Parts: sequence; structure tokens; C-alpha cells
Amino acid sequence: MELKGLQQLFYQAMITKDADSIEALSQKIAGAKSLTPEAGLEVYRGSVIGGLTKGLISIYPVCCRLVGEEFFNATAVSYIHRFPSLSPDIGDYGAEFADFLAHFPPAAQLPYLPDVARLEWYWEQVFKGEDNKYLDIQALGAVNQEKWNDLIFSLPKNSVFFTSPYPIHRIWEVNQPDYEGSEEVSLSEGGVKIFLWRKGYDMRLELPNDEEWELLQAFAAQESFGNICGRFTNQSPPIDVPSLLPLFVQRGWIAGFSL
Amino acid sequence: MTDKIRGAGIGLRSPHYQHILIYKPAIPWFEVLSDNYFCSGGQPLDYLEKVRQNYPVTLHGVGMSLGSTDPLNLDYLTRLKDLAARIEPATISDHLAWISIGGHYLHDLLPLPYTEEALTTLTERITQAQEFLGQRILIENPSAYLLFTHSTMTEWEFISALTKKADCYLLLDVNNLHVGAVNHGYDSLEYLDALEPSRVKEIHLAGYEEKEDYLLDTHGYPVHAPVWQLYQEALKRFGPVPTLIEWDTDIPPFEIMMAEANKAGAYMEEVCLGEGRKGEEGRWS
Amino acid sequence: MTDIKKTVAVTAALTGVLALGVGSMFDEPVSAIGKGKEKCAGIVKAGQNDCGANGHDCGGYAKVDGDPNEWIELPKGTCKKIVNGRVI
Repeated sequence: MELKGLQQLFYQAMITKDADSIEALSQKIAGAKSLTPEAGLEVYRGSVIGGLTKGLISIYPVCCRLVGEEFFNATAVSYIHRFPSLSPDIGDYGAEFADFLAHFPPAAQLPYLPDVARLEWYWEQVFKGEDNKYLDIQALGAVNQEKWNDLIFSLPKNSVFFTSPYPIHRIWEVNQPDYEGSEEVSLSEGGVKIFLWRKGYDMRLELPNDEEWELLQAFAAQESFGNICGRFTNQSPPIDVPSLLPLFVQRGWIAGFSL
Repeated sequence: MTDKIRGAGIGLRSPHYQHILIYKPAIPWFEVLSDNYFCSGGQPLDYLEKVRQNYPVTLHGVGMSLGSTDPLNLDYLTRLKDLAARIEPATISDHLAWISIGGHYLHDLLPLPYTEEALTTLTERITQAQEFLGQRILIENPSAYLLFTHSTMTEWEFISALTKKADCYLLLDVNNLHVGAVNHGYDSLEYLDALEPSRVKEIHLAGYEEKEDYLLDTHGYPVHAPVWQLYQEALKRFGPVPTLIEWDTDIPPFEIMMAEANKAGAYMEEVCLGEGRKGEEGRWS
Repeated sequence: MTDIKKTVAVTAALTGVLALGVGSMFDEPVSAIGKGKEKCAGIVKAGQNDCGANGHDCGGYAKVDGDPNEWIELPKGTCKKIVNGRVI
């Protein structure tokens, strides 16, 4: 049998575990001393499914904790069937997990679960993503005052915004291994707006208030600073940009500027 | 290239980062899993660079999928090459296995039939990878749980032919060899005897798990007695080849890893340098 | 009017930033700390790929065979502690 056909058959036997592939493949396998061909295949299959599952658990530990390992493992098997890994780096595996959970009937009673998964995926991406830069205040000081209206401030490149109608930050927090205190969270606490980024090597899960959120969005949209100030000082209620901008800079939320 | 490391090293794992950076233990070198450091920034890469400042490092990967019939993944090789430029590893290695087909990755080291076709496929791909990386790579022998009936060679015949044809080196995993020999009932000494000593540039040692019907290569235990015995046989044949202790599940405190490495180092001295074998000393340099 | 308010805001904001000075960056005022949550990046996160490497050490994770169509067991984790949920 040609190598390509053999590998395709092997893939089927590992992922779909269909009886036909396993039988066809078993005929190509010499019985080991004390393992039947099927048992030999099962060793590899356990390692394949186990490896992918372990990869998902390492990215989604809170989801795993919420549903329990048994449920998570079974969910992982369903996910693996639907979404093959397309990268040689297992760290890239699992991008569609949140969307998958949103349409996974057995998890329907946990409506917040997809958003928790989204938070965990973003967390992982920011954690291993590129290091963020800091605003060069000296360079900013060298900008001619006449140009201040045209400044476009940028947020840390390795950052992400998202919202959820559920208090996923609390659900996430109480399910951290080092969390101490009551693990109870009430969904009536309401939704959350999250700005997730990395300051040096410290992960930052920020909860901006409504004004801060609006200003962050304006920076993310690369609006000129003059426009932002014009818009926010004239809206009702106005947003106090002169107070917020220095605060953003101090927090490290502003990574640079362009003209 | 390969003479940048010697003695018994340890596989670098995340629970040990801080211990290593604080105590700077007397370990001759560390091996890291290349695939874990393909990130563009962040703390893991920073830890690796700090470790690298104090120790030689080898890069060991699982993603090349050298035995696959897919085209070689140049994106993966580019990431590996970038990491190598950053870390300047003593060696780069991967496995005699395939992990992908049709662009779908299984992330497990899957077995190959030992046929002329597989030999040609692997030779081409290893040659291509070596050209891309600008250096020879080491290929690790697998742990086997099944054999294909249409194989026309034994694993050791295949490896001997491959290292010669592809002009690559062998990373001899003594634990894998033992696991395969027990699972399939072949003679591990016959296996060792078939290998060309000049191709063996690194040895791996790890602990398997004894299942009811077979041995499973879990890397979750100290090195077992039969593997230490086989290791000494390997040392007799190949000299004091740089040796690595691997541990991936239930990773113990660093001191235990270090004790295992010291044990390997002691065997190396005893077998290769003791008892009238002083002539082998030249191999250290 | 609009232009004056805008210009005042731009000038005040930039002046405020430049007044921070280069050295004082990121010295967040105490009042602002605790607004968000922070967690030191755990080094355990670096090990996500240790699994597939070299060995066949992941078998223990694959105990569920999972024909997904037959399997509708309820989750048994800490989700029990999430209260006031919409129970479907």
C-alpha cells in the first residue's frame, strides 16, 4: 500500500474511528507480541485524542473546571471531529471552540460558557503575543502644538476588547487555581466590558467604565485626537478627555502615536 | 555543531524555569521543545533567552512531520529557523514519524512502514529541511506499538539507511528502543549493532509506563533499570554521546531530574572513560 | 464655540500627558489601582505544548470514546455555583 493512502486511512481511524478504516488498517498491521492490531491502533488513538484534548484543556482550563473533566473531554471529542487542527503548533488549536460551544446542545444550559471560552482564547493569544510598546513621551513632546489635533494615538498592539452579557470576568476569576473566597457568582451581576492586554509580562484584564470604553473605542478606530475631543466635549454628557488621556498613558493603555 | 554540548543534560520544562534561573544548577546543557517557543514575545521566550545566557541549548521539535506525504510545511520551518537564529542551538532535532496528512495535524508521533517508498520520502524531506535550516538535523527513533506488514526493512535497517542517504544524524532514544523491543519482541542489541556510531549524536533517556500488555512511553517515571542497562550498551558502542533526561508527565522537582542526569553522567564516565578505555577521551572534544 | 471647547480639551489633555514626565510613566495613581483586575502571567501557561512532544503521554485524557450523538450527559463542574442563571 502506498504511503499516502496508508496515512489517509490512519487519519480516518484516529479521528472518526470508523469501523471500516480500522478494519482495513488492521489488515496492514503485524500483530505485536502481545497487542492486537486494533489495540495497537488504540494506543495511538488515545494519544492523538488525548493530546488534542490536553491542548484544549491548557487553553480552556476555566471552561473545563466549569463543566467538569468528563463533560469537557467528551465535548473535546466532538470538537475534534468537527474542527481538525490545521497547524503544526498545537498551541494554535482551538480558535473555534467558543463558537462551537455556542452551538453545542449539551452545553446550552450554560449560556455564558462560550463567552468564558472567548476570554480564555484571548488570554492565551495575548499571553504569547508580541510584547507591547510604551508611549514615547519625549517624542510626543517634540510634536508641534499646531499638529496636536492631527495626532492619532494607538493602543497596545497586543490587546483585545470584548463584551459579554454575563459577568464572565467574575466567573473566570473565581475559577482560577489561586482564587480564595466564595466561588458563587450571580448572573444577575450583569454583563461586562473587557479590555485585555499585557503590560510587560503581566496579563491585565481591565474593566473600563463607560467613558473609558468610549475613548478606547475611538483610539482603536484611529480617530484623530482633535476629532475625538470635538466629539466628546460636545456630547451629552461630555467625556472628560483631558483627565482621561493622562490616566490612560499612566496605565500603559497608550502605546504610541502617529501623525 | 554537535560538539557544543557534552555530558548529561535535562529537558527544560516550565515548572523548573525559576529554579534554574535562581540556582544556576551545574547542568551541562538543556533541551527545549522548539514548538513551545514559536511565540512572538512574552514570558516563556524571555525565560528561554535567560536560560540560554547561562547554558547551551538544543532544539527538539515535534512539528516537522518528516514522514508525511504532504508538502513540507515551510511556515513551520521558517518559525523554527527564526527561533534558531535567536537561540543559536547546539543542535536541531525532530522525529522519525509523521503527524499530518492532507494539511490536518494529529499532534502525535505516528508510525511509518519501513519501505523503499518511505525511505525515499523521508530522504527527500530531511534533505530539504536541512537545506532550509542550513544545518544537519537529528532524527529520533520512535516508540512503536504496531508494525506494518508491508515493511521490507526492520526499524534499525531503515534508520541506518536513512541517516546515510539523507546525511542526517540520529538521536537515539534508548527508552523508545527498549519499549519497541519489548512490545515487538526484537533484540535491542541487534538494533544497536546495526547503527553507524558516527551518526549517533545524542541519546534520550526517559521512563516508560508498564501497561498490562505492553510498555507505553509516557515520560512520567525515572529511567527504568533495563533502560539503564541498554544505555550502557549504547555507550560502549557509541562513546560518551551527549545524553538527555526527559520527563513530561508528573514532572518532579528539579533535584530529581538532576539526580537522573548525574546518574547518566556517571555511567558515561564509567563506561567510556574507565577501565582502560582512556583512548575514548578524544571523543569529548 | 465648538472649536474653542475642542481646542481647550486637546491642549489640556496633551499638557496633562507631557506633565507626567518621562520618568513617572506607569506610576498609576493609587486610586486607579483596583479598577481592573490583574493577574501575574502564570508560567504554567508556557507548557501548553509539552504534551505532544516526544512521548505518548496523553492517553489518560482520552477515556471518553464519545459518539457525540449519543452523549448528552449534564455537566458536573463548578457551574453549579453560577446562580440566577436562566435554566433551560
